[in-house]
Amino acid sequence: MKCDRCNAEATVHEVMIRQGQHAERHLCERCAAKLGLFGKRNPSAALKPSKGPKPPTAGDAPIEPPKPTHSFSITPVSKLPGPSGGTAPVPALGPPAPARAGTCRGCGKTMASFRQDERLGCPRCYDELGETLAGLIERVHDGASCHVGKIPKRLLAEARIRAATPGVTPDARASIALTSSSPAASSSTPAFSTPGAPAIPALTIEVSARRKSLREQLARAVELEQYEQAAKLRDELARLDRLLSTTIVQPAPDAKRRLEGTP
Amino acid sequence: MSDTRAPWSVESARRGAGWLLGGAIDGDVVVSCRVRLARNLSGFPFLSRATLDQRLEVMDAVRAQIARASLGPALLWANIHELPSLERTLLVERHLMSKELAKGDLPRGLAVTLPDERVSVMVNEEDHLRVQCLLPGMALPQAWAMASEADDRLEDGLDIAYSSRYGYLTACPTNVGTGVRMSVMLHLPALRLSAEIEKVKRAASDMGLSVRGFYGENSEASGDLFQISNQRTLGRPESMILAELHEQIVPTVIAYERAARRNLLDKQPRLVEDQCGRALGLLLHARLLTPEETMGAISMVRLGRALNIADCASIAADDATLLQLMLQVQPAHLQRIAERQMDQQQRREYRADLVRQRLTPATGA
Repeated sequence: MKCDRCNAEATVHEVMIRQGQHAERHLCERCAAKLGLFGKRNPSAALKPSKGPKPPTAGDAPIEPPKPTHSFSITPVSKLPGPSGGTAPVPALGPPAPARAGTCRGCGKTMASFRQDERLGCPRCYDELGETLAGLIERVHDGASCHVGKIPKRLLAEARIRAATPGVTPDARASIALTSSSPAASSSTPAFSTPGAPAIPALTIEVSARRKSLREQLARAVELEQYEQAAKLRDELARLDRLLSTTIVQPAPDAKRRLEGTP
Repeated sequence: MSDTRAPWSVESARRGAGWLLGGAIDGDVVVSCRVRLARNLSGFPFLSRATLDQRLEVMDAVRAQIARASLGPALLWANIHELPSLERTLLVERHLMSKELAKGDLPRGLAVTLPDERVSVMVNEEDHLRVQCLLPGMALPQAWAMASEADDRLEDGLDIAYSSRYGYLTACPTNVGTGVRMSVMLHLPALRLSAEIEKVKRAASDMGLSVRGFYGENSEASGDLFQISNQRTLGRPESMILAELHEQIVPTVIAYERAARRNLLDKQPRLVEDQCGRALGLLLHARLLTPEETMGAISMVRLGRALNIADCASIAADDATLLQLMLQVQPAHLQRIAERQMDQQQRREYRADLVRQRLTPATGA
């Protein structure tokens, strides 16, 4: 098979899957290297979930035996450079990882030992093991890279105070609103509400602020030709859109009736 | 251990478990709901790297907070590492703790609310704390509310590991974020009989859900009991996971199962009557029974009752009794009910006797 970008023999085969849509690209080693498909940007080992079906992972069986010299890989679209995932050049890597050596300064856990037992050593590992771990987490969680949902009450109270303080960034306010404004917050989950805390602005307003900020960052990244960063921002925007369209759904009246009848 | 409310007491074994009582809504298919939250203390390593002292320190801190938290009218605490093997197995059979917690002799504990056994907290399992709420019937929102409330009460006195980027930090990154696993246990005999269950499993997998057996990971779906639960824990709020399972996935699977039942009765009445009749015959007349064949037969009799197949509909045991029997025929429960230790052969004999008693009108429970 020929390389998609030149006429050389393709030895790197990549399959992208997003929402059931399947796309492939086939590259020679040189073009693949230019697109950053080796090394840090494409972790060779994947995290397997401890429960249930296996997520898309790198390192599966070669698809063109016996010629290929590199493994068949399945990469989340969030890791790809352009909207089509195929042609945009990626000249620069993302921001450097906090711990380049891949060792947690909190407990000494290394990425190598994590790949063996699939357990982290301490809460600090999440920061210390840097972007390699972040990539694996994204892969396991279908491209999601940050938490949305319940936060500890004490942090929620602190965040509400910060949100009510003039000068707080839109990002911080959006984060609080996304956490606090789910339908469950107003009905079945008292855990989300703190009596007496300042009122939170409407979800839609806060998400709009977050999206506006992301769009500005996206424009800057494109201007600076930081395509990988731009791709991440684009995916985060898409995720926020999906979130907005689903979290504001209220339970159907029929469901409420069913709940009332349930012990 | 003399407290009759303890989950390992003879009385509890004979009574069965509250979460197997079934529910008024969709009780023909839905057995129970479970919500589990994984939490860790900041400032301590996860358990794979914790020293003995650190394990003890975590356990003491969590235990003290559990005692303060008023999780229920009464609370049982067990040092699992000091508990005899039979009691550990009883707790696993009752779904109050995992097989992982039952293993090993390093410090680990379990708190259970009494007498309902609805909320339990595993300490020093894969994560420092795992809060669980288990309710009968289609009660996932209530289970979530109760688990979250327990979580809040525990968090009040503990410094929980949390990051603004990743949410609740867990030993395995597959649980990071919400740390929540919401499960619904369903009785799906007709989907299994009509070989449609594989389609359900594939569809669930495509939607990021897992389908597991009665005893969770790597267990077979004994008695056609399947647990459907979310896999992804990052990037989606609990409310979304809950709404998806409760409003979309589970109702759809219930509808499939009911359609499969109707279809079996319409198109293959003789076959389904035969299967249910054979199962009832086995339960009423066998003198040696294994747990697997017992659960399979109970499942078919339960299906027979739902389809109003004459022989099955006239037995002494109701749906809830049949579900309880699935628990009571497990090895540890059986020995506790009998109040003696038994080898495998003795258990098979006693199991057959117990089942026959429960299903026979003259001496039924």
